[in-house]
Amino acid sequence: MTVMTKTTKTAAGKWLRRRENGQFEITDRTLAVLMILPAVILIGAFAIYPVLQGFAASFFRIESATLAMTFTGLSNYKDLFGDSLFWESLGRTLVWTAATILVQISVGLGISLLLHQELRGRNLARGLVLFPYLIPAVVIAVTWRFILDPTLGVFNRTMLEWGLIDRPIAFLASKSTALLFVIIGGIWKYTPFVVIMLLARLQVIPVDLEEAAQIDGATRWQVFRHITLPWLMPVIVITLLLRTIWMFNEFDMVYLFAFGGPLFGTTTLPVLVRYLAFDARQIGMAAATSSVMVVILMTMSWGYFQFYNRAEANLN
Amino acid sequence: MSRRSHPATIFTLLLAFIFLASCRAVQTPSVESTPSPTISAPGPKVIPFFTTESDPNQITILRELITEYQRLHPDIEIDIVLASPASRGRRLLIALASGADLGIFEIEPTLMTEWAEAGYLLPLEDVVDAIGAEDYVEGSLFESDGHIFAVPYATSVYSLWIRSDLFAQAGLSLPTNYDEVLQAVKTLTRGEMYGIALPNGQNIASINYFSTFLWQNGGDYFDCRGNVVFGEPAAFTAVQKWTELSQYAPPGSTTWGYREQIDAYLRGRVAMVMYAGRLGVNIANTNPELADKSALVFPPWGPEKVTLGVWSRFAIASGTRHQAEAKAFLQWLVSGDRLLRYDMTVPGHMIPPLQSVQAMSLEIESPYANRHQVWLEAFSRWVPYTNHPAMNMGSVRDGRFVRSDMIPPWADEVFSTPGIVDTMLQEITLGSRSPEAAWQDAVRKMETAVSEWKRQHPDWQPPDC
Repeated sequence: MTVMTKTTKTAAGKWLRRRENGQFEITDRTLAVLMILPAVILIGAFAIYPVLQGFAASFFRIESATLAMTFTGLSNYKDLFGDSLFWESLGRTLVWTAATILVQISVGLGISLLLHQELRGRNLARGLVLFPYLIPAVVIAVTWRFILDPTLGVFNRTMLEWGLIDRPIAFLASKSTALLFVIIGGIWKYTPFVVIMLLARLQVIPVDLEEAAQIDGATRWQVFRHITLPWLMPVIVITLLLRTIWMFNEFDMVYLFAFGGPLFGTTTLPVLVRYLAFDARQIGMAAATSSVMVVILMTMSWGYFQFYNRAEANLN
Repeated sequence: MSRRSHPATIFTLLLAFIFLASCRAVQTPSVESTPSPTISAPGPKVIPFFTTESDPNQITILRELITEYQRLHPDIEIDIVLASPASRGRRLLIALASGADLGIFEIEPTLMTEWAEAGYLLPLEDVVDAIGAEDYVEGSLFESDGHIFAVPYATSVYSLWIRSDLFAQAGLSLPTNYDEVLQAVKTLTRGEMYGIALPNGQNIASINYFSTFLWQNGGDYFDCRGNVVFGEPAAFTAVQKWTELSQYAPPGSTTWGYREQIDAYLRGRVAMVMYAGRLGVNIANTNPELADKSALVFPPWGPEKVTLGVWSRFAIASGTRHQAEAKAFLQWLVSGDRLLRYDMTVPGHMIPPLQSVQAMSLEIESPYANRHQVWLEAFSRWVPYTNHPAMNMGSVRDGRFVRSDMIPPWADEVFSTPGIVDTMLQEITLGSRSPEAAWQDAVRKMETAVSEWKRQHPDWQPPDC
C-alpha cells in the first residue's frame, strides 16, 4: 500500500515544501534547477566566461610584455575595420570556408551515394574513405609540405619528369598558389566527415519509397531529386552548419600548411588572431577579431537554422 | 514578478555576474599575479629552468650537471622546461600571463628592456661579482638602470659556410668581398645546385641575416639616440645586394628560416650558407664527408667587418619562489668547469662569455675539436665583431662599426615577426614590390612604430652617445 504524503507550501514556497510529517523536501522546480546547474556552471565557466572575457579584453590596449591594460573603448574595432589585413583575412576565410565546404559536400555526396550501392569491397572502401579524417592535421600538413617541396617533393619531381614544368615551383611559397593547396588539403582531410553523415542518413531512407517511385516509372535522377535529396537535406544542412563553423574556425590545417604566409597569403581570421596575439602582440586587437568572428558565426548559424527548419518542414 | 520570469532572471543575473567577473579579471594588472616569494612547504625546493638548448647532447650534459648539483644540494630540484628558440618569446609571455613561476630562464632579447623596467627580472650583480665581473667578455652582460639583469652563458657567431670543393672545381677562390660572392653564386647555380641559401621567410632568420648586409654596408636601423636611420642610402645598398644574391637561392627560400637553409646545405643543394658553429657539429654528425668539403669565412657583404652574434643569457624571474637558491644554482652552472662542459656540448656554437673558460675551450681535447680547431678558433676570434639588431642600437656610426650596448626599447615592436624587415624582404623576393618601394614602405613603418612607441612612453629620454 502506498502511503501518500501530504505537503504544504512554506514561506520558501517554490523551492522547498513541508511534508505533513514536518520534514522539508525540494520542489520539482528546485530539482530542475539543481539538475541543470552543473551544466550551466560548466558552460558558464568554459564557454560563456572566456567569450565574455575576450569581449571585454577587446576594449583594452594590453601591453604584451607587462600586460598593463588601458581602456581604449572602441578603438580596437576601429583599427581593425580600418586595417586591410583584417578584410583580406576575412575574404580568405570566406573563400577557404566556401571552397572547402562546397567541394566537401559535392564530393562527399558522390562518395556516399557510391558507398551506399551494393559493391564488392564496400566495407573496406568505407573504412578507407575515413582514413584522411583520422590523421592528425599536423601529420597531413607536414606530409603535404614534403610532397610539394620544390627540391625534394614528389609533386615537382613528377611534373618535371613529365615535362609539365621546366623548373621546380614552390607552391606554398607563392601567394597565388599557397591558399589553393591549403584548400585542397582541407578538402582531402574533411570530406570523409560528410561521407559519414550522409551515408548514415542514406541508410534510413525507406526503401519502399524508392521502389514505389521506380514502379511508377521514375528515372534514377527523379528518384534522387524527389526522394533521396529531400531526405538528405536536413542532414546536409546540419553538416553544412557544423562544417561551416569548423572550417571558419579552422586553425591547425591552415596554419601548419604555410604558417599564414607568404605575405599573409594564407592568413585566415583564426590565423590572424594568433598573429595579432602572439606575433604582433596586440592582444586587444586579437580579442576584437575573435569577437567579430563570434558575431559572424552566430549570424551564419541563425541562417542555417532557418534553412534547416524549412528543410524539415518540406520533408514532413 | 511572474513565475515564468524566474529562470530568465536567474540566467540574466548569472550572465551579469560572469560579465562582471570577466571585467574584474581583465582589469586586474597582471603584475599582481606574478607569484611572490613565499615560505616554501617541506620537500625539495623546485626551481624551473627554461631553456631552448635542446640538442640531445645539450640535454644530456645539462641533466648530468643538474644531477651533480642536486647531489651537493639534496633539497633542490631543478625542473627543466624545454622550448624551441622560435617560440621562446611567446612561451615566456604566456608563462608571465598565466602567473607561472619562470624560475631561471633564457631571456628573449626583444623583451629584456621592458621586463627589466617592469621589475620582472631579479638583479644579478651578486652572481656576476661572485663569478668575477672582470672575466666577462665586453658587452656580454646586460645592464639596465645600473643593474645586471641577465648572465650570459654563450654567444654564437654567424659566419659563411662554403663548399670549398665546388669553389675549387669552378676555379674560384674563397670569397673575400661581395663581388666575389656574386661571381661565385652566378657560377655555381647550375641544375639542382644553388649558389647560396638566403632565408626570405617572415621570420627572425631573415631579419638577422639581412642585418649583417645592412651593417657591413655602413647602415643601421637606428642611430644611438634612437632615431630611425634605415632610410639612408646605405640601407638601400644592403637591400639591393640581398635581392641580387637571393636570385641564386633555391626555389621556396622565400619562406625559409634557419632550419630550411641548414637542411639545404647539409643535403648538398647550396654552395654557401650563413650560420653559426652548430652547423659544423651537424655536418660532423649527419654528413661527415661534407666536413672536408666545407670552409668558413667571415661574411663578406660589404667593407665593414661586423656580423651577427647573439649572446644567450639567463635571467631569474623576480617572482620566483626560491630566489636565493635559483641564484646559487645559476652561479654554479655558468662558471668554471660547468660552463665549459655545457658550452662544449656544441663546440663553436656556444662560445663561453668568460675569458678564462674561452681559453680553456680552445685547449680541450675532443675528436671534433681536434679535427676542426680552425673553425673553433675562427669563431672565437670573430666574437668582437658581433652585433645584434635587438640588442645593439646604433652600432654603425658614420659607416663604421663601433658596438653600442644600448638596446632599442622598441625592439619588440620593430623586430617581432612577421614584422617590418622580414616582410620587406619577402615582398621583394616574391616580386610583389620593387626593392625600392618595399624598402621605403619599411622605412615608413619603422618610423611609425618608433614614433608610436615614443608617444606611449613620453618619459623616455634618448641615451647620451
